[in-house]
Amino acid sequence: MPWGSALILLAALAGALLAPWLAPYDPDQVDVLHRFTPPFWLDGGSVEHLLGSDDLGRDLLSRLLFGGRVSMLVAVVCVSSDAMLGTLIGMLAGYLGGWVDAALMRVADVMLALPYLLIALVVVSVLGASLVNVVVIIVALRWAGLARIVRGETLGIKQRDYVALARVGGVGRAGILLRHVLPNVMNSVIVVSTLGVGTVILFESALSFLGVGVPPPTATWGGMVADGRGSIGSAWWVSLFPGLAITAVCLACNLLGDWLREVFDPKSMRA
Amino acid sequence: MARYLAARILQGLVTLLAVSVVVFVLSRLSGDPLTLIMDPMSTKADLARELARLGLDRSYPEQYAIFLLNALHGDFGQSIFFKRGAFEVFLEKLPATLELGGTAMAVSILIAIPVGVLSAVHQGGWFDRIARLAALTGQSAPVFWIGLVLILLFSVTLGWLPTAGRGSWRNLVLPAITLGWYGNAFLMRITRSAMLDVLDTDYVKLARLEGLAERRVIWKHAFKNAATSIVTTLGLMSISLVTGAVVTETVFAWPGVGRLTVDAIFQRDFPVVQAAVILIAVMVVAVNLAVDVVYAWIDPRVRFG
Repeated sequence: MPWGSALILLAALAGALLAPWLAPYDPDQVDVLHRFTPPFWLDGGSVEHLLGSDDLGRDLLSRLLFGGRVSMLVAVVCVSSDAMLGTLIGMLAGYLGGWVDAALMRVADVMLALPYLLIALVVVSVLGASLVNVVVIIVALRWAGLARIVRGETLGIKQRDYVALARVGGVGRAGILLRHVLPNVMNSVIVVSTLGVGTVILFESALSFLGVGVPPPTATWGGMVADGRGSIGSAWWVSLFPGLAITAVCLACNLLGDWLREVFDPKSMRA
Repeated sequence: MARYLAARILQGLVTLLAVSVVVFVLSRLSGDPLTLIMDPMSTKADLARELARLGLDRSYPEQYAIFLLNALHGDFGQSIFFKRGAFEVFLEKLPATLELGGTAMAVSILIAIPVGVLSAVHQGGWFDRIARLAALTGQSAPVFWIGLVLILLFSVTLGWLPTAGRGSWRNLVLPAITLGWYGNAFLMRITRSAMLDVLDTDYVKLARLEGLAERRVIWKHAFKNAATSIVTTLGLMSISLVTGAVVTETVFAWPGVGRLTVDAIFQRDFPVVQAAVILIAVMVVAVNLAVDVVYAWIDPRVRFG
């Protein structure tokens, strides 16, 4: 068990959940007299703003805590929705076969070949930037990868004796899928989803950075990095800390995902 | 082989058709295009005439057919911001993106493939551990932030390289490293796992037993067989390069198609957005097709299957 990663994720989750109680300031509170205060260990810094403040004098630590809420929320909602959608579509395609399989997998191929950030940019620019739109787009663009993997595994499971026996014993399609196929594809679903958390966080932060994510003044990690872009030469801390937060959380998810993959299945999913 | 390629070409066309439908539907959702181009003082008769001229008075399926036909002729309408053909504007910005993407890809291939191979050969050793952690960290850091950190280090602190713009090779260094970053990590991991699979096979063991030099075993026997997965990965990387280019060009003010698209979105210049998204999708599909051809050429199972 990679304890370090688990600890980072727990800390990030706790920080996001408890943000209203942990944050020393309102994350959107502007204080123009204390713009670009450095972190406390630098000259001119103070313990009043532990990680310093941004171009509007907003407290970075508070924004970091609240920004984590958006990243975590988007990651959890998107990854669990994609897990359900991808598993369902993958199982149906693999088990039913025939034209259902062909149709679903052609759609999946198209989804996988799309330049997804561009599509997301266009969709958000037309429908407007909002939390809901960001989530819907990420879910719609991401289910295909998992669906392909689940389909492949379902094809194998379908040939097993216990499935044939269940069918002879009069178990319906839904029963077989739920009781015999689903438990056997769960390992892959968990591994792919864990690895997907990092990807979704990176994707959401890229949208926020480009200005088409969750709209300001709501604090988001990607948006915070963008806020500090213009002042990178003089006030590096504004961009550095949110970027570190994104990297740490994604790295923790990736390490955890890799570990899970080795625990569940050392050989089959290495590629 | 012909059958395989025909299937691939068909799939590429379906992908492009899907992109065109998405773009068309969105362009109609984004509001009445006439409000953007018409003089506010124009009369109802003017409006009706303009509607008929642009074909906007016809049914949606008809409008889509016209849109598709025009697109096939490279006609995506006039850019609202540049007052010129959107296609022309896109072509102007394309060389900058190809320069950046090509350099990034070359850097990735030169670094990631040797590191991945060495990592697999010395599996579990210190080189492997450091390389894997570096790759995983690379995959976990946001591209736009890497760009800013590089600017902070090499432009602001050390003053070695410029922060933005295009011109000499010095302008190219930081954007190319930034764009290559993610692909690098990805490619290294795939190379490593492909090599591990191959190194485990009987013919590699046999080659070793025959007393062939280790170098020859690794590059001639093992790497050649791992190459199929690596080539496929290069195709996937082209998609992530497009994504990365949008972000990287924004960070470094690089005058390419990625930045053009982002700017066009904020300027509500929909003809340019349409042109950019569809043409970039064409490029991605073309690269993937090229990869499929190379794949078929390397792997006899595909060629004769």
